[in-house]
Amino acid sequence: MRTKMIGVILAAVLATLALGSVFTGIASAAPQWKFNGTALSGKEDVLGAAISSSMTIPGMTTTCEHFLYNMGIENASGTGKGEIKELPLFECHTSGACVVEAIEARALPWPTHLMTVAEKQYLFVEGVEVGILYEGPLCPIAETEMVVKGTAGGLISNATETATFNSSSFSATGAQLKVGGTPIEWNGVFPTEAFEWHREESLSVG
Amino acid sequence: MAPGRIALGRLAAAAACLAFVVTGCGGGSSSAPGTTGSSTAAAPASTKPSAGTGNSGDTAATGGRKAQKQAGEGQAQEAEKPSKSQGESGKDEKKHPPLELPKGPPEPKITKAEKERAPAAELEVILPGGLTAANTCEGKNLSPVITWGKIPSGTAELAIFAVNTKPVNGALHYDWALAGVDPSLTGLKAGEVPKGAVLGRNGSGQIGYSLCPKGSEPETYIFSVYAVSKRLSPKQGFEALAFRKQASRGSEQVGLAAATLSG
Repeated sequence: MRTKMIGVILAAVLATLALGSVFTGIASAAPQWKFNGTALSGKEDVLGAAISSSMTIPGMTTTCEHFLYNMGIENASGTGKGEIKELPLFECHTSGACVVEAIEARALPWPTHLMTVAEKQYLFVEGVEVGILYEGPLCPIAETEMVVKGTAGGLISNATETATFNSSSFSATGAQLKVGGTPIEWNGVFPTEAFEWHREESLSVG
Repeated sequence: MAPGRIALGRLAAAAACLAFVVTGCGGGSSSAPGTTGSSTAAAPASTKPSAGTGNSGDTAATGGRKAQKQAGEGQAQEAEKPSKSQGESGKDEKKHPPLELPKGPPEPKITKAEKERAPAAELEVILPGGLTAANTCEGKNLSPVITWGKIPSGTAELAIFAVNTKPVNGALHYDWALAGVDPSLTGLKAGEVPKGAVLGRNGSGQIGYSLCPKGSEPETYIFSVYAVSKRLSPKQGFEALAFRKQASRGSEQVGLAAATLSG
């Protein structure tokens, strides 16, 4: 009986240690926003135009050829944070018989923060909500408002000053977007550029 | 000008700016008042780039909604390519991939009237086992196991449909239409037609479920569950497409699940 108890306690300790190492891996040193290699002090607006970005929603892919976005950033409590304030979408179309009648990013601003996973930096976006209305006589989901909700995680590249969102970056950050209960995939590359005090300065995360 | 338009103008200007990232943005000096500046303070004076692109987001162009070019699939990989000037030394050349700017106005937002007309796809619907040969006319041709999440209170009945995402003979092809399903249920077993439910006519002209993939290409099917707020009471053999429109207009919420059958 005593041996069994010790075994249980040992198992619990090992499980705790294992979990601890997992969580350490997920959230290690907090990355910060940097301009010209120096940590951002105060706030900055980062604006940009995303390259073609697509969402795979049940049965078809919706692509928007352009996103423009406006994200406020700052370093707070030693971590890079921010919020996406605007995100108009342009030239959206689908891979199927549906036409994008209307699409909107809503419930803005979306809070963001930087995170490190396995020594790589990611931008994590919370509270994502996109509404899409499809139409078309041969569209199987016509007259249905698709509501995409959840979180998004994008891999940051300091070399290209971009955040790349794809299934790998979602998996690494534990992010997930869903329509109802159905997970959807989002792919996109988002270049970033300061547009206030740090215009033309090199933006990096580290 | 509405604030939204001003903001969009700024975004478009930023986009134009990004298109010229290699040569610099706006041509103006980037001498900031200091790195401690707040974004709430006045922005640098030249928020409009001087680059004469004639291609800013403000440019009026029709820019229809249909695809004008293929999405650049290789760009995600390109973003990961190593760069000679990588690092945080500060004076590095910008390394954004080249950008094309929007040629027209942003897509319209969903209007209030559209919202009232279209149910929101917010219900959780799951096909736990997906679709298998048993669910096709090559097998037992049984409707799949389907479950759904919490149905909104006030729902009078559920209407369930299965439709092929590809048109068949130039028309939407419904494989299954089931009305009058008790909203207190949380799902259906394979092939189940619950008490009180009414079957519609499928795209093959039969009353009931029938899923017969054509050819060897994978086919995707969308299963939808509408939470209808007033009983619609269709008769056995109702026409699926017309009834789906009726169910859609009588619902505030719908749940969708997609499943693909490989050829």
